[in-house]
Amino acid sequence: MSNILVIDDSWFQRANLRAILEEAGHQIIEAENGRIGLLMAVKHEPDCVLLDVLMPEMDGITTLRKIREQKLAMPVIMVTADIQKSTEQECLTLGAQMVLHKPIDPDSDTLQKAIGLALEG
Amino acid sequence: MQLPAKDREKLQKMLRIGAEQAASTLNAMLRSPVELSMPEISLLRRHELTKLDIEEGEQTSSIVSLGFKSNLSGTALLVLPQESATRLVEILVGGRSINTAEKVIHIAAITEVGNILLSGLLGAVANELHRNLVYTSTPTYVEDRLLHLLQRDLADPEALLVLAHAQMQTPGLQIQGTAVLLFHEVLF
Repeated sequence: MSNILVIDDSWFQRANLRAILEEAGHQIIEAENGRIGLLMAVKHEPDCVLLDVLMPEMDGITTLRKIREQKLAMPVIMVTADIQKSTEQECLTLGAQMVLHKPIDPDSDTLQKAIGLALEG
Repeated sequence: MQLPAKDREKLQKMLRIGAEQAASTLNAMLRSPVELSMPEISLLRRHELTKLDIEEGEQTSSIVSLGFKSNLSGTALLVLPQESATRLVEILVGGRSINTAEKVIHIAAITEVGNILLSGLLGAVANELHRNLVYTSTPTYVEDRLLHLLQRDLADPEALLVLAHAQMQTPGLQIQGTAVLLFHEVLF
């Protein structure tokens, strides 16, 4: 079981991710934008962060950059609707472990596999 | 007024690629086949918007919009007639009906569907053109008539607009929607 921080401005998306991850036995904490998510990442030091890209107040790319600037080493998986190759490349360059594209199928093990791989390092 | 044939073909191809991505994503979300119409391209001024033939039903539509800029600048919109939006939300929340007190669920679900479909549509276009699109805001949800929304948001009545739209429908689920791309300027 891992502690996972989900940062996404969509309440609907957070609820979907929570349902999938709790069923897999993970503990979830949530943040509705990058600014709050960054504070929670520092405070709780989760095992893994799931991070959206397009968000108000602080977007996911800025959040990822700040997480790495603060020397937080936990794996970050981007979970985004943005399928642009340029966005994916920027996220990976900034230190994201991988980029998953929405929608996440609740009946597939894509998300659990991604988290497993990220936690293995 | 007509777009040059070469530009019209380019725009049609672009929207086709984007709309196919959106339709494929909707198919994955609903696990039901999605039919896509041939994209239509219009070049018009604000007062000519009434010529647009976009299916909306009798009531206001659920509309999600996402602004973008780059060499391509404009707004992408997902227009769902109310019955289709309601049906879509019911499917996404596992088949239960959503009452008016749960409007927040309806708005959150449709906004996220709009985010996923429009980001997919625009991302596919950007990848095809080897461009990087920047989204100017997070997706916005409104309930309105598309024509009214466009007329309200387009301040300059003489500005020339390029508007592309394609219809999606899932015959098995009675859901239909329209993806609209409104270009404020087009520089290929």
